[in-house]
Amino acid sequence: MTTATYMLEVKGLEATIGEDEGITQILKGINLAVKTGEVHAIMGPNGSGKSTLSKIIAGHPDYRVSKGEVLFNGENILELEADERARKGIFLGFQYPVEIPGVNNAEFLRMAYNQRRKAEGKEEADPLDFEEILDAKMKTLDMDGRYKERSINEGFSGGEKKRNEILQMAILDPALAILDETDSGLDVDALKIVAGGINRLRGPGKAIVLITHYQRLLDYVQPDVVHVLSGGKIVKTGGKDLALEVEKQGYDWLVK
Amino acid sequence: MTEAAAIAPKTMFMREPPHPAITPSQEAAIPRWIAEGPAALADIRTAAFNALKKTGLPHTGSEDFSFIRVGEFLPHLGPPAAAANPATGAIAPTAGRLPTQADIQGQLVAEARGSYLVLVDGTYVPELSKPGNGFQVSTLSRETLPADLRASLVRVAAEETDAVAALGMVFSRDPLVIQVAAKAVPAEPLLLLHFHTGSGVRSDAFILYHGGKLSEARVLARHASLADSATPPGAVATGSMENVHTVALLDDGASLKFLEAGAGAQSAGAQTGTAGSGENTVNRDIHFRKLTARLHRDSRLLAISAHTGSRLTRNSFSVDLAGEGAEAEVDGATVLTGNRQSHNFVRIRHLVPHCVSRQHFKSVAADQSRSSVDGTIYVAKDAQQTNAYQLINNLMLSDEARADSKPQLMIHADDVKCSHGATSGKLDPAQQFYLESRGLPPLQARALLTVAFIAEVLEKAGKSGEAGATPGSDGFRDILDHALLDTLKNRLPAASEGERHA
Repeated sequence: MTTATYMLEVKGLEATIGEDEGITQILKGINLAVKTGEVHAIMGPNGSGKSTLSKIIAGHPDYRVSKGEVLFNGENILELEADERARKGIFLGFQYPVEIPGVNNAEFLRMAYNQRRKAEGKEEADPLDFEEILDAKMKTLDMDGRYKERSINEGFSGGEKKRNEILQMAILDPALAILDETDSGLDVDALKIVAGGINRLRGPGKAIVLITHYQRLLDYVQPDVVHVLSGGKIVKTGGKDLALEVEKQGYDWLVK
Repeated sequence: MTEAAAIAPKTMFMREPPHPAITPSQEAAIPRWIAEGPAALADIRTAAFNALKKTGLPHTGSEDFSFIRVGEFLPHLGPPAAAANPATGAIAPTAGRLPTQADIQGQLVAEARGSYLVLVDGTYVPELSKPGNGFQVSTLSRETLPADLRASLVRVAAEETDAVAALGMVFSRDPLVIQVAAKAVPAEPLLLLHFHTGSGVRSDAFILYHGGKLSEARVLARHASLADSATPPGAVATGSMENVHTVALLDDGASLKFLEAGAGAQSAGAQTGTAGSGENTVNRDIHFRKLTARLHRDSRLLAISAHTGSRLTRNSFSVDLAGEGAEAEVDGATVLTGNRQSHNFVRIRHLVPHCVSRQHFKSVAADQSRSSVDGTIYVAKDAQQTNAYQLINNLMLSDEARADSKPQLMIHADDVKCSHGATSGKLDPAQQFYLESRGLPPLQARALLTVAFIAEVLEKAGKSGEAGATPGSDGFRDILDHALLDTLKNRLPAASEGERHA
């Protein structure tokens, strides 16, 4: 067996935040292997390390990896900067997307798109070509034209921000998408649209990691594997039934 | 006691080495300058001179100059060379040459191609100017102002507490008068083109703007230097001091937008060898600019200053809200690199009820640059229902840069809504990570965020291409953008456009 069948492999990952006395260990030996074409869901109580795991994979500078590896298509990516990982095809959908006043959403998307194109050795899109691509993607997510005029996430409702994350994912067409609680704060209609966006990405050559607090999203996006993360470790792995079990019984039976 | 002793403040030079300020002989020149100058200017010059004597020259302990090393500009405060020969008349620039048509064309902006005034070293040159419809332009020695307007102007001079502005009113050769009649709404804005001829020159401009009842106008200002071309090859140009004081008197319901692009606005001319604001010239220069505004009932003022600083730049705004319902907004956008300095000094006085004022100053400070904003909102006892806010945001791009903020409220009324705040910080790491997580290289992300920071103020100047701009020509907003954003792009090479050229 070669590791190349796995798109993402996390091996014995331990990570801390803070320095000196303020240091806290958040991840205490995570093992995770996601094959190409798979959708994994990671569930877990608050503070279990779900968001930390997603940020470390994306390259957030605040966390220090003390042990272990993260392999993307067999390559250890821990030495790469966040932007380098993104250009290789890793996408993080943020739990709390930041507002960036003054940076136009559509222009930003075009810059990001062209960075990805460039990394793939493809021709960059000019503004008119890109607008067509953007319009088409926005239509599938039921987003109106005003998104293009606005600054990134500025004044967006929670649902609009999440939809914007999915739009970015659709535009960048990543190999690996890690979606950190993309479902939280959405009403059912918005959830269906977001789930539709996720399902459209799904397919051979792609892998998706859904981090979620609730089982609800998994009604719309069927996971292949479900993990429960608690206290910085994966405490249980199973099929999609595990999510239903968690929904019914909570986390207590798994944690203790 | 000599006049000089009266001017010299008691605490002068306590912590600074002595500088030649106004010497007794120079001091004697001022009354002579007034006496031999046009009779029509004598009252205003005298009022300003008396104000100057009362205020004294700035010194290290002057509260109004607390963030500035006074020694930087004090040597420039003597009478200008022109004072030796008070005869006005044909304009002969104190040094260098007059701007050519090419110089002027190079400075025009799309929305004011047919509406501009040329000032050379602070003095209006009618032969080179072309005021647009709706602007009546003259000079104070030629124009017979209505008695009340004249009285207002004398009062402004008499109440001046800023020594540099007072000097400007004393030494301005013949103040420029711009009037917009009641209910007039000029279609084009009026562009003021300030040309500075050269090295070591001190120029004083004094400009009166009078907006008639319910008039609505835009006044734009740009600065360009002819010094580089005036300096013989091999000679070293020394810095000049440019002192511009604009007084805006707004009648009931009048509206004025006053937008100023400071020196550093790179002009097309600079690239084609005509007038420009070449980096070398600008950086050595000292710029003092003051806007004094008096707003009557329901009048509105929007003043925006955007610039990149210089060896020393001080922008001062003194706004009196003197009629109910008046509304004033004063904004500043500054991008500083190298060892440039920019200092803003704002005094907004709410004198009557129901007025609104807003201030928003944003500065980007890189390298060893220095910026300061000293702003006060004053609310008089009777000025109930005042609504005022003030915000100062500094973005620090270097550990060696310095930004001082001094937001102040002085409230004597008890039913008002006033707020103020100041922030100084670096780029938000969360925003930076967000952009980088989408594949933008760190430098591009930083540039994008920096541009966005400053753009918030520039947006208020209107959009690019407004007012039917001629394709391919720059509108004033473009000038502002170029002035500030090009500086950023030079500083951060992979700026927002990076991906287009990459």
